Amino acid sequence: MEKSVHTSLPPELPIDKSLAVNLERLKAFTGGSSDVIIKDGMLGGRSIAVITCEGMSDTDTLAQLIYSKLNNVDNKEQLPPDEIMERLFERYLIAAEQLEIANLGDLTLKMQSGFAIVLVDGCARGIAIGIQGYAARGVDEPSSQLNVRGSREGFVEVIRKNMALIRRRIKSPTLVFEMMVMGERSNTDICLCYLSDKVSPALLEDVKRRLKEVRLNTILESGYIQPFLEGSGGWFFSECGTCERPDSFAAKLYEGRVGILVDGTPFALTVPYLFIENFQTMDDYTQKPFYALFIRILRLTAYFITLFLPGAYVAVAAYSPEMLPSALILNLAAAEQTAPYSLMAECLLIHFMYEILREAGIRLPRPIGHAIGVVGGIVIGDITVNAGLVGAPMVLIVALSGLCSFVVPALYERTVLLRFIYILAGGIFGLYGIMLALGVIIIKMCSLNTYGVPYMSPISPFNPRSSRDILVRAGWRRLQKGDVTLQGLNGSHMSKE
Amino acid sequence: MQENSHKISAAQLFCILLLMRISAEIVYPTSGGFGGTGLAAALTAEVIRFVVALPVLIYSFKGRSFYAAIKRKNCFWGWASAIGAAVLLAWFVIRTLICSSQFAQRVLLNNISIWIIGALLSGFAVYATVKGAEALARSGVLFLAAAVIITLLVILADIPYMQFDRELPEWTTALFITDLIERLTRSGEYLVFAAFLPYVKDSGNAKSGTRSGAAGMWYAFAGGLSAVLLCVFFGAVLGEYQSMTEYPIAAAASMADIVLLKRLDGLTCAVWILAAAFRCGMLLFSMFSILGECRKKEESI
Repeated sequence: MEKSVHTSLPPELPIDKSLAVNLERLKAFTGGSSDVIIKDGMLGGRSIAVITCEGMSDTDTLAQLIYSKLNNVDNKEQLPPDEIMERLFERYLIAAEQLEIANLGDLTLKMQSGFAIVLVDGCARGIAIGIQGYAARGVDEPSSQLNVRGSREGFVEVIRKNMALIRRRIKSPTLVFEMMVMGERSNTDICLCYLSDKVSPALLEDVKRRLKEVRLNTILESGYIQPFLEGSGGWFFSECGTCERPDSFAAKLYEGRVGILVDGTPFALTVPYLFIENFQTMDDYTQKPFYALFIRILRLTAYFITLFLPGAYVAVAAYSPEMLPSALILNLAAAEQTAPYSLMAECLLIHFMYEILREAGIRLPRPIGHAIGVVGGIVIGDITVNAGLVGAPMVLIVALSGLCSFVVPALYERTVLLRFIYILAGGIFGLYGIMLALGVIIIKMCSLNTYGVPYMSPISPFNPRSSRDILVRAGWRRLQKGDVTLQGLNGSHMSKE
Repeated sequence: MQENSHKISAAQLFCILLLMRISAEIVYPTSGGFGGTGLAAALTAEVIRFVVALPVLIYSFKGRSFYAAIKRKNCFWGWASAIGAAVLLAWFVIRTLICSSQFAQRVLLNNISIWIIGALLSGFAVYATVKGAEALARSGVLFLAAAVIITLLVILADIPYMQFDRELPEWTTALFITDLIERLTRSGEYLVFAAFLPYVKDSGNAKSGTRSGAAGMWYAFAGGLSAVLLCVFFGAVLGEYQSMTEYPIAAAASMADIVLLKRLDGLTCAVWILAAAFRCGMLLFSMFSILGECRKKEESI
């Protein structure tokens, strides 16, 4: 718990025996915040106080579990403070989550997390009772990872609900949730999830070590801690996956990965993250293997189209027109005749316009966002062609490339940037430039090791055991013959564990 | 023995050597021409290379650094062999750079200065070198897959043009010697093999040493076979025109007009150029690696 700016009282200050002093200190520590609710009362002849934070606790539970029970206690009997505390703990207030608190920092943190704090005059400790209940979105279909078949449940913002969603899918004693609090000011709950019999101890230690290095004041989303979990190559290639589906998350845990849930976001993190994971979805495992193969080929093809088509088009048209049929060359020449800019400039310009429209479509409210799509696609696209600013084939190329980029959404950010690089490389050095740029990217990807696992595995280094699920997804009869875990991947220090 | 932190497998070593070899056969201009002279030169070059590299191949079964072992026995000879190998590798780097740049300019970029093409290739090679053995080995396997698929497609597409009953030209000793020398000076794979030995997983281990040695032997076989097969393929497809063309593979690719490869010879050439650029990176990395091995302290060798 961080120090308060309202008072010089340290968070480690022990709870005083005097209730009045404790309440004064609490007010001073929280700066008299109006959401701190203090309810006084008498119990066993001593003053007690129930402290809650407005909006963080469930009022029904508070009434049933605490107020109603305390009202029913026979108040005629005079008891020493410690005896009252013992009875509160063991008889009066039995709750699923019941903790003892000893200092001011703990008291404030638990209260602000939705616990009800009970203090007794004359007793230098308090009880925190878990009655959290705050306004939260219900479990809903994930917005970014939609499936044709399978569960419709997605993670929500409340970490406890997410833990329950995972537990429902892995009812195993080996599934471990390790809670921790991070963010000096936000005190965000973070949960480390893993299967103790699948995870490599080295990987787990590495993740914990990296999390300890986080010194952020606030953690409002999993993206805040993601860079700390990525290696040196993480600035461009993501070595840490995001997941919005509890079923996908559970499947990753089964493969020996470590998952990280962050309170306040439906996006969980998984490490290590391999390149091939970008092309795998939950549907691949529910559909027939032949169709899964077809879909994966489709995704891979779409990825190559979105990445290379604009650059290759510019390169071929500018440097290797002999690769195109003569009829097509004539059509292209006619279309480009009126355009004032070079093919490369046209391609860059229209891609930039496309990205602006896409960004505008995302940020605006949905009804207006759709209108932006219409305006961008039909009006601006049509007018730019008719005005002779760009050739019609270029609009087609950009539209196709843009459409394909949504087939592999996990790679979108990188794809956009790489596409611009390939357009430049193709425009300046033709296919030669594209190939060299591609070579650089491949070497870079091959040089990455995420937590000791090669980023490009099981493609390179090739792992025959994992090859059952690279492009061709073997049937469940074959897949059931042995788990594929990260420990089995080549080049991994984890394989020695 | 001090272990290298970057480790590759024997299979990866085989793949990168084969890729280097195929790219050398493709992007270097030929001088042997069509017929028995060229084939004899190719076969003789293979045998000579194999005999010269035999000590390295035999030593590789121990799975340790070849140059460091010489240095341990005799410091002077260790340094001499390492510097000799490094100089040879530097020569191969320069030669590959020149040939690849010329190849790229002739087949793809007629209007761009060869200096710019060469500078880009050099930049790529330096980048590949900096990324280290693991990155080179892993990416090499992917590049090999691409190069082999493209080459096989070109061969398949050219099947209708293959003629094995062509009238062969007369034997020319001068041409044989020229081609033999040219072939001997285009390949530094065994030097690379020796340089990469300490990077093979668990080097020093007898079993993995056997794997390294087996990778070397398989490369000797596969590299030789690919050189001879390409020689036969060029002769069968191009015939007497092989002598007139500088890059027979480019000519063969441009003839491939099956639907899949129709007009895509530019793309196939780009893949081969990438393989050649990778070859430069491998040679450069090996050069620095050999010198690095010999600079290690005696006790760490």
